[in-house]
Amino acid sequence: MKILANKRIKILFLRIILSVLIFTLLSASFAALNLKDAAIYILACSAAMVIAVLAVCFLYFREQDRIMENAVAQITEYISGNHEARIPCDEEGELYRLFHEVNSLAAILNAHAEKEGRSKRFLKDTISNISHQLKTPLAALNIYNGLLQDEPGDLETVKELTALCEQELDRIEMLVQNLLKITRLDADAITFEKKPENVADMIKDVELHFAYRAGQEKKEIRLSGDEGISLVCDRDWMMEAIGNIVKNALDHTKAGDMVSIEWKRLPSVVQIKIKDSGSGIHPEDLHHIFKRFYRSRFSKDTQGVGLGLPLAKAIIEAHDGTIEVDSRLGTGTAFLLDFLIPTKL
Amino acid sequence: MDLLEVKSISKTYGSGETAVHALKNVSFSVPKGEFVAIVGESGSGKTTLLNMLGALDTPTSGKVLIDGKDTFSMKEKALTIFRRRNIGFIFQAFNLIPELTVEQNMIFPVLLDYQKPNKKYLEELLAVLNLKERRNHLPSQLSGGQQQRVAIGRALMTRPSLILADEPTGNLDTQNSSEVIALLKEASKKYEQTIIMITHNRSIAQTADRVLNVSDGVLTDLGRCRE
Repeated sequence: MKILANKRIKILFLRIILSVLIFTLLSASFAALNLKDAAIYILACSAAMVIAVLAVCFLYFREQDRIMENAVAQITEYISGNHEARIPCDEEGELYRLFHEVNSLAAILNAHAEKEGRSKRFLKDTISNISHQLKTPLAALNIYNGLLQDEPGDLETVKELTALCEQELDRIEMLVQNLLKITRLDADAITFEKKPENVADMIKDVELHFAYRAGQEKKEIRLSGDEGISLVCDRDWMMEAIGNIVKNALDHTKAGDMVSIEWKRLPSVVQIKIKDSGSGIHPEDLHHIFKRFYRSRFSKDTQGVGLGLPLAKAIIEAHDGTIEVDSRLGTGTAFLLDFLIPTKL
Repeated sequence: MDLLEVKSISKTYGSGETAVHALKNVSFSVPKGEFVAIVGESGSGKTTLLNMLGALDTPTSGKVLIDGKDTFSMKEKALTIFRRRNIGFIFQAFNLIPELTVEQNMIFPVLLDYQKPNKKYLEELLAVLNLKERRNHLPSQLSGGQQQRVAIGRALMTRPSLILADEPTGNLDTQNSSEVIALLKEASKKYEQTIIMITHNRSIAQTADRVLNVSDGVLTDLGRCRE
């Protein structure tokens, strides 16, 4: 009996049964004793029983009313701004489960409000980060420009300085592009066009993109995996994510090293693994590599601004995936991407 | 208000000269929906901490607030109901009921709360956990990894707001463990569930939103991985 799980309902029923029992016993005994005025006694007893039952019901409903009023008061309290208001609900029974669900709803509302606040703060931080990141290359450009103006005759120096200018300009361009992408992702301003895509095709395209650079730097990109696997994703963005990780791998490997991309299908996930035999990530950095603008104290890479991996992570998470890193200093790094095959969970 | 607030809890076993300080003045708080990994060496106090969070053990001093409620001031009966509705446990040693089948083990906490199990959700969980063909088996007929997945299914079945997991992937191979982690993450995102997970695996800790390190009973926050 589910409704009897509630202590109060159980007591209510017990009390009613008890009064009926007492009445029956008393009337039976009056009848058995063959008293002169048995009928009157029985009548009085039944009246007493009715009063007892009414009293029991009254007490029950008054208590119920008090509980409801308290619940309403707590909800009003929450609505009027006290976000810590909760309805007491640690008892058995359906009513308390309802209260529990109301409490969970309140907690989820709080969490959403907090997230909103966090993303606003984050936006503010991002803007200050951007301006900070832009300052350095702009200052450099300014100086080169000043030097250029002072060097009208010397072609050699002019060439050297324009090359430097180009480098800084590339850096700004890259930074601004990545920032735009990442802020658009954050603001949910992107609708992914998710379609089943062939993983092998996609990765071959990524490899094609980096083949020239890898050849120049004498590094090898190796692919392996089943041709038939498909993944529901937005092709362009997924290629961007994988590309960023491959680029990161190329940035941290030396000539002669190897980058391998493997993919396979497991019972509930599609897995893509990008492994390199490069310098590895310092254990102290491991927790921070997906933070925006994070720069390692240990890495010699000075060109990146620390947006490639966070961007990859944001894209992967927008596809209900996870990204893991396993890295050993000196022997290399493996990025493991897992994409849950869609379920209704 | 954070979902979980830990206010300077300490735990001492024994007293006098033989006293062992398992936890020393640990404080932290976790907002709703965050996925936190706790790392640290064996014997550093991780499991003790997790037991305190789930109110399975009482601290020598300090408080734990779950959604604003002080768990240690609650009466045992109310606490049992509170725990059943709000917290899901995944133990290192599974703690499955040997007489019940896989399916029965998973819906057990739901039945305890006098609810009807949600059939569709159960089917989904069985499918995702790859236990469909095993639903009528007893725990003794399963491998360690399968038993672990049943325990995870049981914790997810009631959709609790807080999931405490003590090395949920300790008995699984790399492939299985990344699947389980992906599943936990997905669940936490979908239902705004807060997950606190003990792990020895650094690359799994990496996937968490935040990493806490326990060393010799002292807790340090290694920071959020994002933002």
